[in-house]
Amino acid sequence: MNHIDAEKLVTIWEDRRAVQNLMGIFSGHYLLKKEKNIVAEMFSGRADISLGINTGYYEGREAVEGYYEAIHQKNLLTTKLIMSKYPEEFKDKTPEEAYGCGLLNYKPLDTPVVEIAGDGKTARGIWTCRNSYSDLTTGGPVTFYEWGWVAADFVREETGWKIWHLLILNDVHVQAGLEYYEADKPYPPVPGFEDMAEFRMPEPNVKVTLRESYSPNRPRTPAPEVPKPYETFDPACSYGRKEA
Amino acid sequence: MRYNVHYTDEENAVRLMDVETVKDLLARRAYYLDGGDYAGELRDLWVQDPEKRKTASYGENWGYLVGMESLEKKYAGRNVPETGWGAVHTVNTGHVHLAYDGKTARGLFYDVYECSASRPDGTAETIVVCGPLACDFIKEDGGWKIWHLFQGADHVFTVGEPYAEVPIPRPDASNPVAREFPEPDVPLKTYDPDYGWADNYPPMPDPYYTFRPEESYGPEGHPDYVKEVTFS
Repeated sequence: MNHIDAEKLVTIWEDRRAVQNLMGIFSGHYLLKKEKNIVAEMFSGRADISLGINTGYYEGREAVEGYYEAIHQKNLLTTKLIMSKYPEEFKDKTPEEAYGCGLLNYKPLDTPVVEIAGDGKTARGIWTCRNSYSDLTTGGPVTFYEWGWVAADFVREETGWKIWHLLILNDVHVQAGLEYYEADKPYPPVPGFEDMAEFRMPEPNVKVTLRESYSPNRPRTPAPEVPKPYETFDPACSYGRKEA
Repeated sequence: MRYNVHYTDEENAVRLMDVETVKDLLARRAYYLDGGDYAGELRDLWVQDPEKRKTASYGENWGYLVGMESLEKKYAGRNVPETGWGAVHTVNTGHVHLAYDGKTARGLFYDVYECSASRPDGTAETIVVCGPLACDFIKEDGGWKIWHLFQGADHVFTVGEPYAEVPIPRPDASNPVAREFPEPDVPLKTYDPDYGWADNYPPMPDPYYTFRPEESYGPEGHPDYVKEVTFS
């Protein structure tokens, strides 16, 4: 390593800690059903933010906001259906107080690799995520397991580090109780939860396969790129869509 | 043991970043494993110094591979199928001590991972493994490197099979992780998950002044290791 003075070293250390804290708070927003606040509180104010998932990118502020707004709408719908289904349990709760009931989604982020750009303006990081979440379906609550990665480009703004380009990629997404190569098996419909059939997440506005989930026929696939030390942001090494 | 050592602000800053760097190094290893790139892991993350290469080691419950030549042949030489293979390692709970002399570091982590491989009938077997990950790190000219690594297996679940039906003690023949472990250079029952962590191996690192092989995560650091001596 080239010689770096003590003040610079401590600044790098603090920046890495700040980026990791940001992603810890990001993870907590899923647990606490505060997804609707994620863009405003955690993403950059830039117009060119993005979110990539296995099937493509939500590119641009409107698309990313639409993704998290859809999760919020799902939370509202789920809350309404569960409160209606179990009126006795919720007789003392307002919909606002019961918001997010019946859902659990925590994204524990492990295995951090974070690089702060030499110019200090941006950062890149990747984490592994061993997730389980419970969802309300037409067949009642169902739990899914996920194994994958969360990666991001970050940008330093006046209020601190913010997410610029986010990737949430699953290698495995499987319904609890099934083998990892099996397709989901919906449960028989449960009266009162029919409206869940109408809910759909918005499709990515850039449809491209970013990660093919595991199957017995899938070619061996490396993990997403791990950040290397870098001096300044290069769009060719971004967790957003690469420029052609 | 505590040592009365004074560091300048600059030395403290370097030590702060050294701890961060060894955590980063072990995290990077996970992504090589996720892609099945064992050779790349050895090339990029492990010791390069010729003398240290001779004593580098990789251990699992059943013994140790010793020397980079052995690791390159046996560890990196393991068959990773081109189709139907996948893995994700999640490394957490890091606990690191940097030697007071600043030349080495020791860390104990935990790794929860899944690994899937296709079967000839078009299905796949997935195992989920939970186990300790212990490492001696050493600072070389090119930065921090892995020197001795121990990857234990506490729980080995086969997805879809009731864990309650796994026999205790578990025969190696029924353990997918044991079946994959190459012929060790130092065969040793290093870690027995039937008895949990009561044997305290790999031990939690303590503050230490300088590296000593008998305190390492290599074979010489195992309490049951007996060095073979030939009398002529």
